[in-house]
Amino acid sequence: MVLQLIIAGLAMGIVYGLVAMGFVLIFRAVGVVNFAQGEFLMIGGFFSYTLTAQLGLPMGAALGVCALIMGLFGIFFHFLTYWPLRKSWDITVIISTIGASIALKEIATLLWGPAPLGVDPIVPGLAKFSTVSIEWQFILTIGIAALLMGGVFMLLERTYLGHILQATAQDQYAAALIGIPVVVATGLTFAISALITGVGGLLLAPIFFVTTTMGGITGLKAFAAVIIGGFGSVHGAIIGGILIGFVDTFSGAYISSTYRDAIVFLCLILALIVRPQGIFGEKIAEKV
Amino acid sequence: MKKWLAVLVIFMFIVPLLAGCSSQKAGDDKAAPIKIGVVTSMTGERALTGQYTKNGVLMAIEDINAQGGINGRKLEAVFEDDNGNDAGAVNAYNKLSGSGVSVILGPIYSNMDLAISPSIKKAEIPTLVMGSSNDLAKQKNQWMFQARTADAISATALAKYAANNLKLKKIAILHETDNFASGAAAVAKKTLEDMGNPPVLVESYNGGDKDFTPVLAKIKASGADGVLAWSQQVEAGLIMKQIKSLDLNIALIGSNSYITKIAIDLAKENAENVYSVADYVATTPLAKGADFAKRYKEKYKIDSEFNSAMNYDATTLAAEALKKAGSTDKNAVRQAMAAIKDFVGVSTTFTFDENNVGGTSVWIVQTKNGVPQVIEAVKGR
Repeated sequence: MVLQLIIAGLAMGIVYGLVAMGFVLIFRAVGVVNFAQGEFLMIGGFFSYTLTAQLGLPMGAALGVCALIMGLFGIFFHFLTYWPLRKSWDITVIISTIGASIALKEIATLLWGPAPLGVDPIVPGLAKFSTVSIEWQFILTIGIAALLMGGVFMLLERTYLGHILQATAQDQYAAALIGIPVVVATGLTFAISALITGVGGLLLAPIFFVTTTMGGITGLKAFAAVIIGGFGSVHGAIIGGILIGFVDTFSGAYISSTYRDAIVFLCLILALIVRPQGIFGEKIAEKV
Repeated sequence: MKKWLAVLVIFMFIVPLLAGCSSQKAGDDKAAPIKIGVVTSMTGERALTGQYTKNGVLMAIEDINAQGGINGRKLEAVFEDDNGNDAGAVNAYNKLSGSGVSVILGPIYSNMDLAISPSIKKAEIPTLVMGSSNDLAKQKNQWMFQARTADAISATALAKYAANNLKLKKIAILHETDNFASGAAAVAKKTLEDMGNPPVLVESYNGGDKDFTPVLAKIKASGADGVLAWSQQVEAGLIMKQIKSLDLNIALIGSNSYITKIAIDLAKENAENVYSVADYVATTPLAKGADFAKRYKEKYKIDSEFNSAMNYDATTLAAEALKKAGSTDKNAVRQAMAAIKDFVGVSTTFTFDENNVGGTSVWIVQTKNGVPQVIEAVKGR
């Protein structure tokens, strides 16, 4: 039972981590929390349904196409909700993302209908280790999500493009002064954020079905992961996500399946009391 | 230009006035259609329920009007969206109650029905709700009628079937935390205890949960040989699928949600052999139900299911009361409704008791090749 829970917890945790990473990337680039992050997950899930069940693509190809579409979707989202409002208050952008979150849910209902949809897994069937049995999809989710996380991490830390993105995230004005095209940098950040979250949705779709509301609670838990990991820290988001995944799964099995959500958010409050800056956050006071 | 604008403005004021006059007349007109309001989910995650509801109501209205309507008057439906939540249901109900409808049909979800109960009392409009919770009868609301078989009957039937027919010895109970599921699970627990076969484990989860691995792993560890489960439709699909992916080969006996089209479509082959207690299935042995199933399929090109059948029955019950009352007077309709006895619907036979509970029986069914098949009928009263 413990091994079972570890795998399930890790799979959930790593998806929370992906979404949390998406949150952090956008937050670092433009300084606001994107409240439609959970909906990126949902859109990714619906795209995976369209690509596999409706267009008949094999799951491997669907993964690539879905990643590409989600990247483009991120750029589109950037130009619709952030770019026109970039010079106004942060709160304006935040409200614009809340609006986008509601709009995306309703658009999804119009396009794909109100019924929850089932998606075939990448590798069907169950993996069995002695008494433990788990869907291959869980294991694959862990693998693909880890690769994706590693990829984004390398991109940010090791490449020239990554440095451009980092520089823009640190100070847009200074970046613009040294000749970095800010619009390209922020647009690309939105693209990466949407891509990783959308692929998270594609990975979850065969396990939990696709519904228009699937982004809500997942987005919220990922947000908790961001806070626990330290706001603005990419590796903090990953660690926070995995922690939330484990707390979620183990509290459901050993404490109470009714109050597992409450326990997750209770942990969030505890973390805020004990270490408000998060695990990897730095204590910095904003300059006045 | 200004002149035109002035004319336009005046025109805009006059037209609604005229319309107002004509509709006023229509209200008194004995030949105008009788309107029934329907509160259902047309948006939100329960929007599919709304589609099926609409199918059922519109088909019933077509049938009633084809047979000459209600004492010569046509029947007409007004739909109002509840967004799939309790607050939305109350808003939708209040909006409908002020729009001149004679009877209202409430949602299929017990929580929403309990939420609109005070509004029903206030509006004094005979309202047929389709939730199955036992708590609906406890509202002592003379204007609210439960056009459904209550969980007291279905949960007892389910528990008895699991213990007596399937000979299960170590039964686990799994239920959602909403009113319907908690209430039914409590009834089943009591039934099992009274039979000297208490459940080995009672677990609950929240609506909207996706990952049931923790709670199912717990059931697996408990050594249970069967699970009795009360869920809503999407969660039922998830539970059927996840039980199989944990390689948990024990009997699953679920609430009505487990054999709905929504749940079976999601769970696919994992829905095989799942037992359930059902109000209606397309393979029903009832002649009237079978006829409904056939005509529904011809009309909508999809199989009929529970939501549409319950709403078909509720609409025909409303029509019956309106016919018997001979007018749209609220009190007359309420009394006529309360007096309905042995009314054969497509799902079950309806007799309203002193608490306005109508449904009298349920079916024990099992899914075979993706289609729920009736095993036996359980008469409750």
